Amino acid sequence: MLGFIGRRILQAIPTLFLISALLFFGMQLVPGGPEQAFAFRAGMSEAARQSVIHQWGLDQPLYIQYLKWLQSMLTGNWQFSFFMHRSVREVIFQRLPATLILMITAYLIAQAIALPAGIVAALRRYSFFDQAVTFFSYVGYSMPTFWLGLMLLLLFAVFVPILPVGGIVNVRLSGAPFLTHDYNVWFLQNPITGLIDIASHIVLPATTIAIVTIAGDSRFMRSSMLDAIHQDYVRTARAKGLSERVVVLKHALRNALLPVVTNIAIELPLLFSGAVVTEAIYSWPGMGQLFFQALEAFDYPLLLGILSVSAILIVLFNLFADIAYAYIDPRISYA
Amino acid sequence: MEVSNRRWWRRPSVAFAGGVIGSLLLAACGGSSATTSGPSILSAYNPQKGTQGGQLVFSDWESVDDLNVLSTSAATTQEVASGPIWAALWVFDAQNKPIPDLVSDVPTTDNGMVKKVDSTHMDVTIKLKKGLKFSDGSPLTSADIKFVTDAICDPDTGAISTLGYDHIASQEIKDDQTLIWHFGPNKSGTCGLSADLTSGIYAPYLILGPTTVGIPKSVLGSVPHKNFATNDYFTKKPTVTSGPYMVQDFTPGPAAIVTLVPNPNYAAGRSGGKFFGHAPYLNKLTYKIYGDKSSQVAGVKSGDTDLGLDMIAKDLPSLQGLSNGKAVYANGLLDEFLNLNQGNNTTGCEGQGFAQTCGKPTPWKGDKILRQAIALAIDKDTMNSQLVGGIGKTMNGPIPSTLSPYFDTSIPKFSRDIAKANSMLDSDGWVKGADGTRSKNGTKLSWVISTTSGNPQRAAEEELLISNWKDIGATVKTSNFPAGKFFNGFKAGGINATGQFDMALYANNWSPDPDAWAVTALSGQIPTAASPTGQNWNRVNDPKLDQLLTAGENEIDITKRTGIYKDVQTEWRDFLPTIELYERPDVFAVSNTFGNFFPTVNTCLAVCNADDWFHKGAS
Repeated sequence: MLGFIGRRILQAIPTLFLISALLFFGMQLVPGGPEQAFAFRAGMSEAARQSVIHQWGLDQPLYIQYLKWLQSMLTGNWQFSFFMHRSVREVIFQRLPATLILMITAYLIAQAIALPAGIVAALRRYSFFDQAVTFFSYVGYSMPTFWLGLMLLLLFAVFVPILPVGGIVNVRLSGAPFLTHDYNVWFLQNPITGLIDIASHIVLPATTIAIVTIAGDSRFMRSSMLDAIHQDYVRTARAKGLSERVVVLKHALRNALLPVVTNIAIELPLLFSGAVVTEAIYSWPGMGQLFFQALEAFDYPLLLGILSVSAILIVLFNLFADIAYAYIDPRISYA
Repeated sequence: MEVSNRRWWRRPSVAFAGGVIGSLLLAACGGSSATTSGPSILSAYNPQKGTQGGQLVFSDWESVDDLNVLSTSAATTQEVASGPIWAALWVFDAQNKPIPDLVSDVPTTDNGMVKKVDSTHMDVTIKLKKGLKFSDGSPLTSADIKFVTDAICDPDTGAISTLGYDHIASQEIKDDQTLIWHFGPNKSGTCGLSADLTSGIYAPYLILGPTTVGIPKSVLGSVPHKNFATNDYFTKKPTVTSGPYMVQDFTPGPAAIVTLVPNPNYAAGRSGGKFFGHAPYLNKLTYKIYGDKSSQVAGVKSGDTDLGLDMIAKDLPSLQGLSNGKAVYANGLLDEFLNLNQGNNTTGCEGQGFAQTCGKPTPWKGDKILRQAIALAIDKDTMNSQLVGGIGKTMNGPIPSTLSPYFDTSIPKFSRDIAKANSMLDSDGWVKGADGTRSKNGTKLSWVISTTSGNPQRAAEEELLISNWKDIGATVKTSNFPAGKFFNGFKAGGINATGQFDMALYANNWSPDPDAWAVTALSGQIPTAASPTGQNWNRVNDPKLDQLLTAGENEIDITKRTGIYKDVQTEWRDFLPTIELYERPDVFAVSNTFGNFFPTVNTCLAVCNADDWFHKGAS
């Protein structure tokens, strides 16, 4: 197994270099280029513009720019965000915790509901429960996120004000924005209050994301389970007189989970990207809105930073998925 | 997700620097001098005495990326920077009248602090209050003001605007409290001047007050100006401030938050002053950015925010029924208008998309009667009542009604007159064809109107205008552009700057001096490859306007100046380089616990009096 992991990591290195080159040079094809960032600075003089162009290294040949960017990524510097005026690494790591808190919570809620619901719906095909799950899935999947988020916000934060309207913390309570030094000091002094505060802020955005995710993933699980329970080996297991519990959990489910694991491997890196619409509605200080704004502002270093981290995570989670297959499916062995 | 475009509605280079507003004051301010028999503008600002303590949250819904009060034109940056964090020489009240802040008196000719030396030179004395201190306890002196003025003038700083500063030939520090700005002729290149300046007389000097803020030379003196934009002082945390509050924490970007705490030394040198003469009332002031407008409205309704900024008339219905506050609005120096290209629509015509008019003069070029008929056909009242909720102000001339004493109150109220418009066109030789469209000498009465795309308000205005003009036999089409493309500068191929339009529809947030209109109409301001920064986007070339606007800039006598600008308005209404539609209201949502909020539409963005803000429930 260790040999397999080592081989996969070695294989991933050229893949990541290739991705980095595609990202960097692909971005250069965008009309306007990074100098479009100046469009947002109407009063900037030509001298100041040239000075910043020089500072940003935009007056260098493209391949030099690429190598410098690559070097900065490898050395952990990650260059400087044009519009946030600080290092890309600092910007990403300032936003990442909020994104991960939201997305992981939403994902766990979603999977905790979607997987059992899909399994039960498959086992009780065409039952009332199955019909209900199907109905919910279609409704959930077809509801626009911005509408759902806004409705939940109005309902539970305005008309029946039991939950906060947005943000990750109540600044009136903490006195400082999330994860700043002052906030950290306050949190350490009031950990329970701080946790309850974050938890109350997470309910609405996590629910919004979870509803949409449940809708899709429960259908996926149902379909995969339906395939599995009609396989010959399941019929054989039943013929052997195994209990239904063993048939379902040991024989059908383990096989049904294989495509689900692949799906999860694809979905997990997306958690890093955040959710643009949900973050906007709930004023969540996460990666989704940051990426969108970087796109609007032609902030190439920040865009490249976010995309590169996404690429690394995708490669990494695909590796995890391959490892997970070996544990779930006894037919697969990397020994 | 709604994409922000507000800052492009307003032409940033005309909108004065992050919020400068002002009116020309030649009477004394702050009650320290007697008024004269001429027109006088004394500020009536009279805030309530507040209670100490508590916290307030004010909010917007567009990202705040830095706190660069000198270079960042984004309204969000200026909302938190101009007023709460940095104090200015003077600011302006809701009626566009100056209120002294760092200065003991606003300089005027009456108090002798503005002197015309000769026909091309004038001196303005800046007299700071004695004993002013920065937040770290260090003295705030005239050297700091000179330092800021120098920085603004250096192109490396990238200041939002150098307009007006470019007339300052030199600065002289008399003592720790006294600085003299010597206005005089300057050479091309000085302070961003594109051509030699032959006279330094600059009557609108008051617009420089709000952008000249107290920034400590001791902190930034060793930083090259070109590095200001990336310096931690402006991007992360201004360690030493001159305004009523200091930055405690700042997380930038979307969903940004700035927490502010009182500046312990703000009251030094201010005690007993009529304006801003006390320490800040609040224990904490927070500036919060919501993810979008809907979230901000929800925040206002739920009590999460005490003051919602950056709202418009269209938001009023969603603000109905506020149980903990009210929606308020103000009209002022922000107006929606039509810019009529007086030249040829020839520069590329956006890839010949304007085939109808590309390469030809606009139909109204050299035809004043046509321009007047087009204006007369517009139903401004319906536009205001149906599209602006009835809270805009229909405009009768180029200058907004709040710009007293320059606004000409004798101008008759505008009313639509289709019969007269048709009659004028008939007599002007525009003959109606079988298809209902008029033509003259083979030229159809047909043009393209352009504005920012993706803006439902503007789209509705276009629809109404097109229907209005159909009544006089004009066929009008639309061709709209993303805001960036529409407002880009000449070098970047901006639609307006390069003249690739027939008629443009947008809004300007004017500075409070009538000279602000000059750059949009002086023939020397027509942008060209040799002079790409010109602001006369509609290529106006009217010798009489040139003469009047130049005279207005050079006349510091308030009575004479008022007369000149009344003539400007008469000529403008006759020549019609632009057609003003309505004064666009700014809408605010304010909670019942927010003390001393005064809605304004000026570049102080209603936050210049942050020192007077207090929490009504504080104990």
